[in-house]
Amino acid sequence: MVVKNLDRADNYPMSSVVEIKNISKSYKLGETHVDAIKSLSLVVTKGEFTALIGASGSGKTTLLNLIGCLDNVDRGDILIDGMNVKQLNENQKSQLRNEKIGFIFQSFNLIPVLNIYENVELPLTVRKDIKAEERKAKVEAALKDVGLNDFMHHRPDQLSGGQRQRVAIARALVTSPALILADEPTANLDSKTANLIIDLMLELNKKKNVTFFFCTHDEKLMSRVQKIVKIKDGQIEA
Amino acid sequence: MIWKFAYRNLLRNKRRSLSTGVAICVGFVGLNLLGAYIFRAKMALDTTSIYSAQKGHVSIFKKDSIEQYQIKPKKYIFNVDEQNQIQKVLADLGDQVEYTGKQISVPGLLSNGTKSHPVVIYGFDPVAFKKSLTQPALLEWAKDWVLPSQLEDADLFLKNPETLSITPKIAELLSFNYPLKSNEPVQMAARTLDGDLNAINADLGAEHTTGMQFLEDTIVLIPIAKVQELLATDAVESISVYLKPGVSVDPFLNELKTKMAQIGFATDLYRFDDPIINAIHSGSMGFLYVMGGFFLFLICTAVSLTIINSLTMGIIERTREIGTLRAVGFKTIDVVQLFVRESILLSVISMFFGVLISFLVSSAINAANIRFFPPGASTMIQFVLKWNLYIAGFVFILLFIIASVSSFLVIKSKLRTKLIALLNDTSTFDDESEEEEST
Repeated sequence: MVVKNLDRADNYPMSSVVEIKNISKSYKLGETHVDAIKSLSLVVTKGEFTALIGASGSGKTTLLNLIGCLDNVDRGDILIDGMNVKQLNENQKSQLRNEKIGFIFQSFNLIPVLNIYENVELPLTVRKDIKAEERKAKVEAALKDVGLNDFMHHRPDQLSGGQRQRVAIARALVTSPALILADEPTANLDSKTANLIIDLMLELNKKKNVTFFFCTHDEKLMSRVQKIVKIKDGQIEA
Repeated sequence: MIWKFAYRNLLRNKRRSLSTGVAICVGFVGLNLLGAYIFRAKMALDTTSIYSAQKGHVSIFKKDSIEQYQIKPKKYIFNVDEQNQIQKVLADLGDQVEYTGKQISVPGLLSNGTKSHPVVIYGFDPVAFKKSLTQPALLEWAKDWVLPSQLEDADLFLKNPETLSITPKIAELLSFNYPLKSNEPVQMAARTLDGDLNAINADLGAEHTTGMQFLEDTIVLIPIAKVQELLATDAVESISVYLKPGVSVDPFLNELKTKMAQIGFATDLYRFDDPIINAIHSGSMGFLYVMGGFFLFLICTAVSLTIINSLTMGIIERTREIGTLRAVGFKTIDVVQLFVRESILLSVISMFFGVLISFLVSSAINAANIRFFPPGASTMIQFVLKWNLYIAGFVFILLFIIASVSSFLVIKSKLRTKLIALLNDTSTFDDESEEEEST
């Protein structure tokens, strides 16, 4: 199965990495019906460093999950690098996540039994099109980008929180994705370490033109990003 | 990388992996030893049926002889011409036949001159008898069913065709003292095929065992010529065919049936374990197979439930990790493969130890020379476990499949959970579980 062969919107602008068209998502919490996202549209272009902000329960994480194909929209379309997510089955979505999207989680989500090198290598192990030598080169390059090439044989529990998040960034980077999604990447870090992580993300954005789309509560961080999307009650406010 | 990942996951919770591995190992050893016992019992029954009871691999009878011989013996025997025709057919199959033997039996009386006892007089071919008693297969699998004196006396019937062999029980009933005196005269009486009463002398000189308690006061053996003399006939009741090593019985039987259908009289052909001529074999094996099947079911269920329980616990603890794997691009099949590989690795490691333990246990039991009376048997036999690689291979494949299928079912059901629910799971993530383990 090759995702690249799937339908691509004819009028899709080549600089757009994500195009969200009028999407809605609702949940049922017990007897209550919650509209998490309401008729939301948004475009993320290549090389953008975008922060998604909003109050707790405003729909930030839901939007991030929908863009990351971790959840399905009720209505509307999401196009990732030209591919309409709605038309993909679960395995095709896995392939899309693997090839086009990198994830940075708030709690790092590293595999404790694997060392740093193996954690970063993980997304590449399911790629049959990448040979062992190329895989090694990619992993080493990603670890070098985050400054952890001297720690590749360490286990996650031997690293600090900031270093673990760097590993997570390297894991997100290693497949050279069109987009990196980060859900509160600095929430579990002290302010000094959080700044260092943001510095790293900005550096990768500037030097390697990596597109970042992340949600945050960190006000200091907001002053450093080039684009802020504010969400309120499931709709974009600004 | 995925195998390494699977291996390290096994070490994640060592106690759980160990207990699951022990369950697999014990199940493997249990099934192996049960298989070894049943295998030995089958081989012992096979070889005693073929060689001790002189049924051969295939027995040839006149059509319906089994039901009618006792009623109309004259009609259900092979005369000399018919015997020759059968031998000619068998000669055509000479590349598969090692030797043949002729038998005839008759109910009669055995007397020591003052006391008589009803017996079945079984006339056998002394040449075939000697060959049968010295077959390596018989000595390997059923030495306990052959008296040491039987082996020593195998030539006796060739030297003196009037030699009669009795069981220790008949010796006791007729007050023959041990050691049996060679050439001590005994008398046999029976009705001839024409219905007349006839009696002849024989020389007591050998002993045997039937292996079965209920036959020990019944069967006496004597070379066939003597029984033919008693019955005033040169006919035989059956012809046993002994096959060369490596020849399969069923194809031979089918070929023989085809050839026998072309001669001028109807015959019945039986395998040595056919229930019609060998109820003891089929009954014993039927019981052992049912018992074996029951234990197989119990052990497989126990192993399967242990694996499912262990994996379910492991998967609950690793829910968010599964979500992470899916998020970074692992397809459903990739995650399934990871967990199945963990199960496979644990099974292979456990069964490797299972092979060693099976070997040690079976060797120890065999060396201990534990002897017992099987139900209905006339002699004590050794409790022998003939463990072999075929049984181990079968059990290995069986448990391998159980382990793989069990793990597949557990992980497959977990993967039905929505990805977002997997990632949001609040169970212990492995960062913490491993720390607990290491402390």
